Amino acid sequence: MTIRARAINRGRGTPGLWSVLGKVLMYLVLIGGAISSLFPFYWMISSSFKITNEIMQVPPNIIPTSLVLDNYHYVFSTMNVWQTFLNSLIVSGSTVLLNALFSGMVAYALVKLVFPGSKLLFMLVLAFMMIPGQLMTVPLFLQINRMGLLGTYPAMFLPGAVSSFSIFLFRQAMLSVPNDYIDAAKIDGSSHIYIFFRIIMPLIVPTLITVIIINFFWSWNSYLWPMMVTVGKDHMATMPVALDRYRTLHAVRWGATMAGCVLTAAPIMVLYLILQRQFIESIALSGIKG
Amino acid sequence: MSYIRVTGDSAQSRPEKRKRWDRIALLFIAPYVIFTLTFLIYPLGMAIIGSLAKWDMISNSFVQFTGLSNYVRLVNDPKFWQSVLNSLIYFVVQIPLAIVGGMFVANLLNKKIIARDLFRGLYFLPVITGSVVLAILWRWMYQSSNGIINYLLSLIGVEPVKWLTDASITMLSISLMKAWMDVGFYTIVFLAGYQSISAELLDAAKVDGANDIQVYFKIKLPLLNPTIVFCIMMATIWAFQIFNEPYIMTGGGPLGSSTTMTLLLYKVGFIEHNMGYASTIGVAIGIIIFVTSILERRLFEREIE
Repeated sequence: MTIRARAINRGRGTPGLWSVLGKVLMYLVLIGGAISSLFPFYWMISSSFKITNEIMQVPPNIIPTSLVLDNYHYVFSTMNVWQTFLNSLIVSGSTVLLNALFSGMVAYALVKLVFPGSKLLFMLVLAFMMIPGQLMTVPLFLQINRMGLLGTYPAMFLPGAVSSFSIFLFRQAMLSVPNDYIDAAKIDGSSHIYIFFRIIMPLIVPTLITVIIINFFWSWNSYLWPMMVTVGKDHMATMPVALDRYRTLHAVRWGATMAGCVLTAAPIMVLYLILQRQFIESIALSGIKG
Repeated sequence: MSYIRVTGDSAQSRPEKRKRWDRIALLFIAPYVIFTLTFLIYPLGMAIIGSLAKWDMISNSFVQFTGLSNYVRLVNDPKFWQSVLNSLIYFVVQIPLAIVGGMFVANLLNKKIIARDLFRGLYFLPVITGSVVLAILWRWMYQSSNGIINYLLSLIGVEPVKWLTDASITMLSISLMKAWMDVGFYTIVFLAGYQSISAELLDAAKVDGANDIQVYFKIKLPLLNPTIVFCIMMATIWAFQIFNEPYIMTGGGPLGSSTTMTLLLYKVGFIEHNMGYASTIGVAIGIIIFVTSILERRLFEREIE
């Protein structure tokens, strides 16, 4: 670091030997880092296409010699992939929908409506952000149990239906929408419900996308909670939950387990490829992760 | 319930507005209030009361209040202290590695380089993938007999390491894996931090004859302080709640060497079915996170001149 920094500094203006060396070194470090980020994924994908003998082989082949779909056939025949995928989609979709709607509504009330206690409500929203979720694991589980919701979709998506962070993001965005828009609409006789859905929301689409990405990412990768509420109900499990149950049942079939990993990670990776910039900005902003 | 509370508040602070507020606001906040009461405030209260009681699982009611006996048990429970120690190892190893790693990579990416977006995208890949997939993947890569990591190490002459089966290093292995996962996250956060530093300030320092190292430590680092504090706080909250990786990679073993606090909570509550004691552990985790965060703020927060 030291030498490189100095080298770049000295070389400024006239690109000398040190400057070139410094650049080369910097790229080597960056490329090395990128390789170590990528290699586990390469290993996961290449293993999922290997025959069992090659997987168990010592020492392992870095460059695979076999390329077969056996592992994928095996996963599809031993695990209910489509049902699981659908479960994940329903749970994540419901979470995203409810969360965006409810959080947006609260933010609208906080920013654009006058009502008693709005300051207090906002302070509570901020305070709730600080409470670690683990604290509630036990009572939340017992409560869901008593409500008779264990092993159902609502058990998985209801606790995530509101979140302080989404409210916070929506609030920031709505603060920048001029009140004139709302006043003008009110004079035209529009209701607040109309203004919320047809005027405010279309103006803050980038924030809406951020909220959707964060919640989708969070709920798609969520593990402990959906695992607890689907114990004994395998057909209701989401992808990550089903994947780990699959791994424990087929402990020796690493190839099939890797194929399962690829299938679980695939949807979010495809989304990432399409929306890379939004993903990076949203998640870096949020500081929420499984 | 919350409606009564909020009305009471207004009567004192803003009496003139009492008659002129938007009733429709009730509709807009109703879902949030209902959900927060049901899934946050009520369980939170139950968790705290439950830590003082014997808790019946089926009826979800407190059979008998036991005072502080759960807390007395907690303080004298070697398993709890081991889990605190395990979480501390993770805290001490993973956080500095991931945060300093992220700062370092962000510093490189902040220079004029080719394909910056590509590098950024690649470093961020582990962050979005999801911890279950990565924990399973690393469990396999960490295998001591035919794992790829030991094979790569053997190429440079390192003896096979029992990453996940040697009780003395399991927590270290998990911390390394998680540091690998999180570097991309901190890279992005610090990149945003570096880019918010004004170029004029840096140019002025250069004109004054400061070299790159001086600029970094005298200007960039102090200006980054809020970002650093933010990252440390986030990392702390995550560190003391880590569950997925130890649960999937080692199941908390061998010999409890990777049972983190949350994993202990899960085992006590959902395998031993002792809900009251599990709640006590939950409260303890909350307190530990809270106290650590305050100490960290005291320790790391600097006034920017």
